[in-house]
Amino acid sequence: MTNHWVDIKNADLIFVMGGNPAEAHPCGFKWAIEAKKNRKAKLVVVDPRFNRTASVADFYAPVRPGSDIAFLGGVINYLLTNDKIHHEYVKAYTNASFLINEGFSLEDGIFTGYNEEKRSYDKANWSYQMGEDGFVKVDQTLQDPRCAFQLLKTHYSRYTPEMVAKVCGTPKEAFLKVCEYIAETAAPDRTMTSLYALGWTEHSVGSQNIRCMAIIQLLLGNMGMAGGGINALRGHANVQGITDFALYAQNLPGYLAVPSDAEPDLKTFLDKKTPKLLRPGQMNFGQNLSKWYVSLHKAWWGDAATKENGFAYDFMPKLAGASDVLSIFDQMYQGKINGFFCQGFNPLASVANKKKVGDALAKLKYMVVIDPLATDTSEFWKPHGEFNEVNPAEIQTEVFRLPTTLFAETTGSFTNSGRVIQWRWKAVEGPGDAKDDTEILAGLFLRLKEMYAKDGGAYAEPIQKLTWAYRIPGKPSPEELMMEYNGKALADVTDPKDPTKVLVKAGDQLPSFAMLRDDGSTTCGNWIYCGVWSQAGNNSARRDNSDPSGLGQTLNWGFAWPVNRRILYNRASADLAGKPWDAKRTVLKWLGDKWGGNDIPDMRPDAAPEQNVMPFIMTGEGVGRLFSLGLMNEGPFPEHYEPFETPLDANPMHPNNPKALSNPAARVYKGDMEAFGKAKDFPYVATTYRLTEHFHYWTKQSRINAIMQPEQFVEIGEELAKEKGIVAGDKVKIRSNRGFIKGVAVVTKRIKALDVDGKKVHTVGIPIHYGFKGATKPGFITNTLTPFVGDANTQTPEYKAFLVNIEKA
Amino acid sequence: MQFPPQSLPSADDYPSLLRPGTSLFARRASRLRTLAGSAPAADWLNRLALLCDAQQTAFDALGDLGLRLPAGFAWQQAVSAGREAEIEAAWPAIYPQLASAMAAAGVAVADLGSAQASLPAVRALLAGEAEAALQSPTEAVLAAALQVVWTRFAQGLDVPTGKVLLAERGHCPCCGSAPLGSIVFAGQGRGGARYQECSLCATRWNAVRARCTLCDDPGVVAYLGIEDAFPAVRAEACEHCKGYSKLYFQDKDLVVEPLADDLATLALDVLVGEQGYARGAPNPFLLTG
Amino acid sequence: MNMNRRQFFKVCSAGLGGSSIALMGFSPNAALAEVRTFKLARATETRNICPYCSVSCGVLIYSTGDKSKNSQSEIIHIEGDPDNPVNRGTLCPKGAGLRDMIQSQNRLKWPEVREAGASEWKKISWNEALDRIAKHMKADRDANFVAQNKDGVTVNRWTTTGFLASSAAQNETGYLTVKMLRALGMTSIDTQARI
Repeated sequence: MTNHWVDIKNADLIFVMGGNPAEAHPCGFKWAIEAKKNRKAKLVVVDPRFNRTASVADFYAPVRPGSDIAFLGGVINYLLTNDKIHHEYVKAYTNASFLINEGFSLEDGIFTGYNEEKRSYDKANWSYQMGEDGFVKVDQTLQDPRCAFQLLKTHYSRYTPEMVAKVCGTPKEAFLKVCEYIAETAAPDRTMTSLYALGWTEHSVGSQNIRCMAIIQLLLGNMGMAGGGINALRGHANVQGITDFALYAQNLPGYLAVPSDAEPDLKTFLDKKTPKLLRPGQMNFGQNLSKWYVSLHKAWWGDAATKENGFAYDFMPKLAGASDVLSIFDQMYQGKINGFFCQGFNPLASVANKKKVGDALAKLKYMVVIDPLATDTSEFWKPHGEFNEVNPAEIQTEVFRLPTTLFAETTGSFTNSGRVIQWRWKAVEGPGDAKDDTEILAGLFLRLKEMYAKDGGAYAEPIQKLTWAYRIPGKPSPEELMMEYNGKALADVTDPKDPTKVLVKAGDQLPSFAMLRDDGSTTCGNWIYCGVWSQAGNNSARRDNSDPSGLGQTLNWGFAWPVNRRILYNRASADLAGKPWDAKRTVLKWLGDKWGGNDIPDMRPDAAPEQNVMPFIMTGEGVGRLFSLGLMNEGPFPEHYEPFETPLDANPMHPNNPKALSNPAARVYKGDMEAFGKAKDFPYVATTYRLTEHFHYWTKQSRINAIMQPEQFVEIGEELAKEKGIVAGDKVKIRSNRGFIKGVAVVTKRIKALDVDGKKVHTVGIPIHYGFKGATKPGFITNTLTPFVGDANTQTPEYKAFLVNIEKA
Repeated sequence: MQFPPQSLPSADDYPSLLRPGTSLFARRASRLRTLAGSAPAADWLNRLALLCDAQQTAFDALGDLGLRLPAGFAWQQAVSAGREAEIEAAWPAIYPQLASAMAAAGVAVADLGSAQASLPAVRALLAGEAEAALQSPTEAVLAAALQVVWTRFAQGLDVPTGKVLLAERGHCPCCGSAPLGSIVFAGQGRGGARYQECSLCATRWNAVRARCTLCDDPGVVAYLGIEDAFPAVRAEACEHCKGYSKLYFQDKDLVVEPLADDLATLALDVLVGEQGYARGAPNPFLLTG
Repeated sequence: MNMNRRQFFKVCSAGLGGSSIALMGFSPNAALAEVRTFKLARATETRNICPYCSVSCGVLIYSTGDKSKNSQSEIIHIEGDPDNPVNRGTLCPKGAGLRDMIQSQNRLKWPEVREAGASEWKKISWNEALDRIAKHMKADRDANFVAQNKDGVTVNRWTTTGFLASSAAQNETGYLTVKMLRALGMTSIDTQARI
């Protein structure tokens, strides 16, 4: 989230698309209700199903699964053609005026630089025009046909209300009504908050769905505002924290770039990865990369990280190419992975195409499940009737299952999706011999370290030199770990302007990442968390819920990253002179000598407005990007592509270009393309979803949840039920090209057939949550059905739009 | 699709501060009589009820003191700072009324002139700065007189309706005295919220749960209660400072009244004390010695 | 510890037997006799956070047993934390059932192994489990570690053992996990957060 949960109460319009918070995040959704009640805010919902959020909305519009870009592109077009944008904001705080390279264009759905064979783009021309002064050329009048604003206008001029209706199946009047609601927030003192979740991310164009909203919020001037922003509701209680700590290959903690084969030494790495200043006088905060990166190496390898060895640059493994859950399972399927750990993760149930995942696991030599519960994955080798038909004798994988503690049995911190880090205290011991994850990991690591010391082996130096100064080496404590990733000064940290002034004494915990240095004098395991355990102690344990501003900022409750800032880009909540766009919701204002207000400034505190330091400090240009350069794999402007399994024969926006049918830059593995179903065999669109009574594949293990929602059901509309002769309560079989599941038919008015490009399209809703292990009725795994293809940027699988057939079982 | 406007439940934030009500002493008297019932300490509780009756009469007669929050007051200190003499001016007029009520109940207390000498002990008790209990009925009656005046003062203040920063939550933001315990509310809006109650002016201020109010150690506290008796009263004990103060749960008994229920549950104090915890909350009517 | 200036005192039977309180009508003998009929009940209130969705609602956990005396404790009740600025004491249907998750019949209680080709689990000790896993890891790492790529660039990576990390684990676990995996050279890492 750019904002936070309580801030939703400050919105004038709550726009929910790609999420269903009333069902999936009930206690956070309360703040939408508060906004309605206290500010007379409106709630607008766009979703394939008339869901629980829609049931309390002021307006609901249906949309076909997988057509969000067409819808949102239509909104962009509406805002531009009806001049419903926040002009001053767009001109100053976005790259609207920036001139784009002449070589960039879109032709029949494909951008410049496409390589069909590699399914990827050469992005060289997706760039700015640079002036002789070394900075981007701009046209402040926004009239130059090559400025981002004009290109945006041209790009979305094709997304007419008629086209939206044709692609999305949304009635034109309903679409226009949604546009009217959204357009009202173009006024400087009106804000819209965008709430989304997996309904946007779980598509082969997931990231671009969100990019559309980024463009809309920039046009409306809603970024940085209280009650504005783009707010990913997200999944687990610590999904934000685990993302921040980069438990994935492409980043290091704090979203730091990870070295690749193209960067053989630290200098090359930093030169390549440090963003360049693109406009004069901007903060270009990413220029501090060297301080963050060196401090990370110092935290991990201590004295072994020296200036001479590039701070142990070679200790960090270089990225081996794609490494996401889909690619890992594909590699495993091909027999290229021998060992595998599942830590609190149930991939057999939660990854696409259960058959492929199960077959992949069967090729492993060893698998280790570290979990509090007996998961489906841990028993992928065990026959469970028709739900898991396998022959154990044929599966040679050695499987270990290690019991861990649950949240109530450990002390430590969680970071919510509003970036607030909160400390938890242990209540009871875990059952039986269960151990904390940290103790298990330490146990493995210390054994390996000892074995390498004794027997030698491949490159053991990074293992032997890894800092491990925990009081009990086999049980690093959460307090020690938080203090470590916060970071400390190894030598006195002095003021760069006055070297005689000591800012942090040697040995002290660091108060903020502003104190990090790239000379090896500081450590920090995650720069964005710096300050969470300062010399003042554990700030995540703070529990003063005072809220003097009434905005719900509660600055003394827990600790938000970065530096306790609650609303990101908050400098944009004030005009160029530093006066809040809406004084009643002041987040930040210029006080004459510094920035102040009700948040930690997302700006150099003494940067006077006349210095024209722009609010989006993490970019080299200081402004928000309507045109996203080469950062997105399928193009700088989102373009509508059909899901990989589409009910249509062609992309209605590019009916004659089969290359532009589905995301041209999405990665598809050998065998998976063939496993996509066609509309003639699988005529119905399926979308998976979640229930308020369950959490993923977890609560099926809990008795009370099993009582509330005991078994798999499948939701279909009345019209489809009638066509297929299905009545509520019938057992039905749902097939995709990858397998089938069975469930009880729930026939509702909540899903209606839509008229898409002259064709009637039915949608089938399939809750996830069930499986063969648990307290719920043993059943099939929904992801038996889903396609093994992901978003072209994040590789998040396309769970929300695929094709199925349905019949009475 | 468009829908008719709906009435939806609200979770409006509960305020940081609550003023005492105008019938505080009458409620205390009533609660003391209920608790007296057939309790072994019935005589005592009933006598204290008479004292509370007299407090209510004096409170009603006192009227608004006319003291208000200074403009722009930010709650960084107690409101009363520097104004004590002004606020307390009325107590000598009230003391004799309370004293005569006690005399009628058979409790002898000193006259006004001698009672003056008890002021330092009462002040120390309320500030929580000394061995925190009073020793003679005279001191208790004097404290009762001060309660009337200060409650009147607190009652007349405009306390903010939202969440304000309270720099020092261990002491009353209105008069600076120590709290006698905390009430945990039941019901919509502020269900589960804990408010400490001032031992002098009965102002209540929000304090987060699961934190020792005596040493501010966060996260974990023990609740000690008596099995099968007084379900609404628990001692919140801390393993760090080995102190405790009592919590009064409205969801177990809607009419629970901290000062009265404290006195009726001294058995809990004895048992908790035997476990090695010390009490960190004064009650002016709890005499020792 | 941040002690404020509050003083402590003990309410003991001797104090309650004092003359002043008796002057007010308190009868010590009867009261103290009553005390002896009572038994102290102890519960612990602990602050934690619901592990389900990313609203991360604050919860208060009540458990029996005396942590200071190391006696076995059991969770008896979980409710919303009224002070948490986000959930303000509320819990959803999932959060309200947290106790059943903690006390699920399917909680794992000891390490187990399913040998290659076997059709059942076998209980093993922690030592055996960790020893065997560490041996597997070392053997795979030693056999497949890539020190340099084909162009001679130092890459120091180990791709043949993968790790999927939980997004229900706490930050400290996440940090130790990533620190250790990277030190081992692992690059086949991903998290639940992606999906």
